[in-house]
Amino acid sequence: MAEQVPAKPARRAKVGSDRVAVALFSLSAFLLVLALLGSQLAPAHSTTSAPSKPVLIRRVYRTTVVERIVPPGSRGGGSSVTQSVSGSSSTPSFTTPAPVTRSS
Amino acid sequence: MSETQDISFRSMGSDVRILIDTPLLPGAPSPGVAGARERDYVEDFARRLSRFRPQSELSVLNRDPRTRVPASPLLRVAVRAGIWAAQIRGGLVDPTLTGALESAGYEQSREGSPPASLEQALLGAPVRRPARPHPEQLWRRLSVDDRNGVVSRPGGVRFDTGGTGKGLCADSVAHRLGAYTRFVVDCGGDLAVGGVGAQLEPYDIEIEHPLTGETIRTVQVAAGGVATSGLNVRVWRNRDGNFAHHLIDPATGRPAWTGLIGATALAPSALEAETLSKMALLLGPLGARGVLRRHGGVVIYDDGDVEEIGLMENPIGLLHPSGRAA
Repeated sequence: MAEQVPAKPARRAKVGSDRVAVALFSLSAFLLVLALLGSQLAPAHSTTSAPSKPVLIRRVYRTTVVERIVPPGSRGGGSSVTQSVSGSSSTPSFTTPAPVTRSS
Repeated sequence: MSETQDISFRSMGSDVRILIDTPLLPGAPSPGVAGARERDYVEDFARRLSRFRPQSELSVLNRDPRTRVPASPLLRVAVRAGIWAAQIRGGLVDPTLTGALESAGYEQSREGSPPASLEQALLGAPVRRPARPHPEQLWRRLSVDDRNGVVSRPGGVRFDTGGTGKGLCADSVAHRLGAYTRFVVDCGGDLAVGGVGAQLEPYDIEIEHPLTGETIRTVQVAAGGVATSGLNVRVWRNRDGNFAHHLIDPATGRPAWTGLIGATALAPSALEAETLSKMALLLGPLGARGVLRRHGGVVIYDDGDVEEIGLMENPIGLLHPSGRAA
């Protein structure tokens, strides 16, 4: 009675080599994609060659100042009246000088 | 869009400035109309309470030989403010020093007269010492009877609004501007700030150095008063060669030389700030610290050095500081 040679070890070797091939293929594909992505990103980080885009910041102010100076003597002394009407797209503006406390 | 009114004019021998922001209440006059109205009020206030106008209500009161004299509501309020200021520290800010002021050479308005050199005045000034209340304390005999509309005082005692008039006027105008979002009333350096808008957008108030004119410090004020007393504007040289100024030591009846040439006080009202600043200057460096510690302030020494006293946290006068209930 002849002893049968088990085929299992040969199959195991073939299966193992297939897995290695698949793994190598996947790795090479991954590296290829990575290299492509890297080549795409590289120019974006380069600031030396690409011209910067101009950025325009626009603030619209609209100010109307009406000033009337009453000459001395017309109402017991000099006086000034300033009326400011101001509009701004960013912050409200208050253009008059700050009040001052001083000895008098 | 914001509309503000900024009006400046001369009154009470000083620069007066009123800033009024937008109306808060519907139907309130425009800030321009309100500014003109308040200018009239200030000029009327000055006309009626000036000791330099012979026909002013104050001059008529001071000439009246009676001990009980009929007085208008405005004059009664002014006298009451003077008594209040005197009560704070036993008469250090004394409203009965008209005679001493005249003896010092301040008989007429100094409007238009350039001040003498404060530096020269300081060189010739006597030894520095704190001012003290007058031992007689005549101010305690002033009284106001609103029911009968009279002011009472011993015959010969004359009342002066010099220590409290500008602060009272600033507070009065501020009270009248309650229909506006925010406002500043500056009566000769005594300022009242108010309005709900100032709680959100406080005013920057600059404190001026009396010698250099530079801004010592800028404080943000949401409500209340800021006032400055100093020697640099109303200082003069008498015929005898001696220098004098308008801040009188009640105990001696002569100008006070205390080691300070200026004091700025913060307080809940302009009247209180004016009173505290005068008290600080009259007491000199040591006493000033105690006077100004509560609300904050600044003193300027004879040599121009500046000292900040108390906490001057910005902004001052917030009703709900740090978002907490007051």
